[in-house]
Amino acid sequence: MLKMNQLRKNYPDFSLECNMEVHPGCITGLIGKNGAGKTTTFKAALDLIHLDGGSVEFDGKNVKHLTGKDKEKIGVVLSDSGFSGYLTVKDIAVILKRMYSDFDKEKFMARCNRQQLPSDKKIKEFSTGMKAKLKILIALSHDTRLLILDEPTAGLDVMAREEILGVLREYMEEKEDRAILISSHIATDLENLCDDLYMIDNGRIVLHEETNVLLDEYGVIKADDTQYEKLDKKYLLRRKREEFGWRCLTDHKCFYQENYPGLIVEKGSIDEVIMMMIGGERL
Amino acid sequence: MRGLMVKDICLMKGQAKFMLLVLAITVFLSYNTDGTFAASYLVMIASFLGISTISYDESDNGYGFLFCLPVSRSQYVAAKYLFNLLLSVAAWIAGIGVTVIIWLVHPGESGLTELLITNLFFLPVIFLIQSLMQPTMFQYGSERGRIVLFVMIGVIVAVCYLVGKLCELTGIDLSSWMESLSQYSVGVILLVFILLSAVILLISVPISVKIIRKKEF
Repeated sequence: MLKMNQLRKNYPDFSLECNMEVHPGCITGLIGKNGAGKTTTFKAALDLIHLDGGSVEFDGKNVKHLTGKDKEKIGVVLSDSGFSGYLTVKDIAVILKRMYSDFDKEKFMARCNRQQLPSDKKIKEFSTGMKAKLKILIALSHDTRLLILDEPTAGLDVMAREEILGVLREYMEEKEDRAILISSHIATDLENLCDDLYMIDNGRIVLHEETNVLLDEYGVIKADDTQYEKLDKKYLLRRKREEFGWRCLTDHKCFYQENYPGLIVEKGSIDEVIMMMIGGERL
Repeated sequence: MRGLMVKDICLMKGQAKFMLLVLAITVFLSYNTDGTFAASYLVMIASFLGISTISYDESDNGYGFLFCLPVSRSQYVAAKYLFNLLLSVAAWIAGIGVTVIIWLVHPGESGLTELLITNLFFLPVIFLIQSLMQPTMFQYGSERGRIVLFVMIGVIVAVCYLVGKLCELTGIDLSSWMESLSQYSVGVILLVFILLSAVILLISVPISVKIIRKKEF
């Protein structure tokens, strides 16, 4: 549905190079530390920046040539951008009614009401959490096929985050051909939501894996120097020196559990995989 | 595009009290000034309000989100030109309305027809203001754009002054050329001004589109 081919963007102090694909029926996550290139990737996907190479396609069409009708099929949350803070929820409803052919004003106002978003208050007076909720409700206010969500849960408390993630799951269940591309700095949000994950570091995709594979087959090995020496290293992705010896990341957790009794092999959380992929040394 | 215009109208709603205050000041000051004050003052205020809608769009990187909505960058520019022109023309009409009412209540030395004709010359001025203002705001942003705009107006005035001086030095008689214009009717001169300014406005639109297409958000 969304395809980034050999995407390249150069800045004086940063460059982005990535390939990425979001398939219908899938929720794809993009994770990485601050400044890794997540927002730049999203902006490239939305034709907000000019590329130095490669292309981005939505439904086989270059995003540069998307018409208004095509753009109606995409719902967007940007971490650093939104409607002017001088508008109210009521104003936004009127604007969206003129923008989208299938905007349901009553449903939108009811959802805002349920989230306790005041309809007559200027957005600039909203709390961070309220602003985040409104951005998501705007993205979900019309019948889209793709949601592109950059840090949509930023600033939300645990309850509100769970609520929003529930809304996103509902969105996916409503129609089979829908898809979501989402980024978050809270890995557990993505762990429980995404079908596959891309990990980005310093403008490069360092890992792409299905979430269940990542959770089931990736693991962290803690080995002292003697144990490490004896290890078969063909399934080790990264290693990191620790006080006790070596911390290693593997994508064949079972292999080490079965062949090295007594070796500490822990289930890899997404946070640990990120830390090892980015902070660890490649073998 | 209608959505963008509605957005600007919603943003202007917040300025309603300010606009009423400006209208009251205009009525008050028009009593003691010539019959062109109301229209010129209101057009100037409308131009500044037009700039403010660009500031609202830019604030908090708002452009990025706006261009994710189902509108193209060229549609955004077209909507902005249309909205600002309508705002200025509405201010101009309101200004003429104030002038006429005041003349009816308190007739001045000039006749009403003369006043109306003089005020009609503000229409090409509106076109020229928009032609200059919009690309400047898109290129430099509303904050720097305001300064650049004032500098540009200063440069235009300076160039006019220098041309006048050069004509004096080279013996070209500008005043006789101006007088020769009087052989044409006011209507013809007005029409020429309107057409010329409209052409400049039409040239300005693609320039603004090019500027906004080059930008990254």
